[in-house]
Amino acid sequence: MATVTAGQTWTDVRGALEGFRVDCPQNCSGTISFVPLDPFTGEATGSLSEQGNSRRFGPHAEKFTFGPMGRYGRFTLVSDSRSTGIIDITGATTTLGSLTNVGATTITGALTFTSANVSANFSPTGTGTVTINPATAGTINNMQIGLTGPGFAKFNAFALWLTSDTSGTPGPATINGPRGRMAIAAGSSSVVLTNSQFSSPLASCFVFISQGTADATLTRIERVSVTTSSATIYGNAVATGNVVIDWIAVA
Amino acid sequence: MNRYGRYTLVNDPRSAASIDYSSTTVVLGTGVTQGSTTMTGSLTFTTANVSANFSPTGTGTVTINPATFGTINNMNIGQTSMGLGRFNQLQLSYTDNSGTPGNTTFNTGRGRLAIAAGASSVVLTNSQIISANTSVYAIINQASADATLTHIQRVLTAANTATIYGNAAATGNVIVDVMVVA
Repeated sequence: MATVTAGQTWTDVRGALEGFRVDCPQNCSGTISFVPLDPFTGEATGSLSEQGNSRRFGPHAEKFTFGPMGRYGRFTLVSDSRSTGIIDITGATTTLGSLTNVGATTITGALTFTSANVSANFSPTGTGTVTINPATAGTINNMQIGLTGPGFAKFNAFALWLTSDTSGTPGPATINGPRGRMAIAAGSSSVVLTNSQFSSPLASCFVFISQGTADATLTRIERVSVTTSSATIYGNAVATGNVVIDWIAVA
Repeated sequence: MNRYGRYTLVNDPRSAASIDYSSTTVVLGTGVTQGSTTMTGSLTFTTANVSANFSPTGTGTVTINPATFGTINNMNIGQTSMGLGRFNQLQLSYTDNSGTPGNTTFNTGRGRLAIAAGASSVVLTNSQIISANTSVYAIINQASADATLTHIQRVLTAANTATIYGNAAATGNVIVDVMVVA
């Protein structure tokens, strides 16, 4: 009996009443064929169609007997697995249930993962890394980045959602976002911003006056006082007119 | 065949066909997929000391867009090829050294320090200030105004440092919030 191993070729000449036993393990594949021979000259004999007797086996494990063929001839077993465990189904569409891939996986075609209610997890431990670096710009949406393991971020453009512009209604405002616009009302020197993104007094609020013409009296932002959920923004003087300010909240 | 015998039809799996192992758990060694791969089950890649690389060349792109918020941690983003970053919340790693007024060192992207009473400026040493082109944003963050140092006038950056200037010598310690953008 021939036990199939990757890349193996077996050839054996047998009598008319002898078959050829094949033991094919899981994940190997190949072909066994028979060519009748002239018992005296050893030359191939018979018609071409007779010489075409063959059988494929694998990739499932199987044991079988090929023959006897009723004629003297040569049995040839060719394993077309390129190495142990490799199955070449290049031209096939394959549907798998659960797949466990213990070696390297290379995908040279498109990869689509868009099913509902299932998750992808790329979290190699140890020295494993994840690299995302397409030649053509791709997109990342709806993801929180660095929440537990912050890294370095570098952008050629940086945008923070302009949550709200309340400068048309000067005075205190509630804007629950990372960036906003509001106004210190004429006659006031400060304004209170209520914002849930000030998660603690350790949050920061960076503020700049944002208008084309300087106010006659409130000409700069002097300081802020951040507490949980709010920041009081102070100008240097009582404003003559409404003073529009831009701010960003950083937690 | 000109003879009595059995004809056998064998499906060659290498030809264009469909192979259905949908109810089977398949264990592979090395896998190479040349056609399109569609995954409808969950995808887990959590093995130690192996890496994943999504870097299609040419016009290939990578899209990550789950319907429910996901997470990306422990990754440097845009280090060699920058794109647009757009967020609805911004958090930067934080250090509070305001309890020890005066010159200080922290290497986080955001922090708090204090200009000491009697001083009009403070020097921050921070490795994220990679050159004079780095921007450092500073603003006083305290409930009561100092009697003399009432606002930050300017910031001067050099590699690894920023000098933050107030408008006058401080009467008391003045707490300042800082954000570094390289």
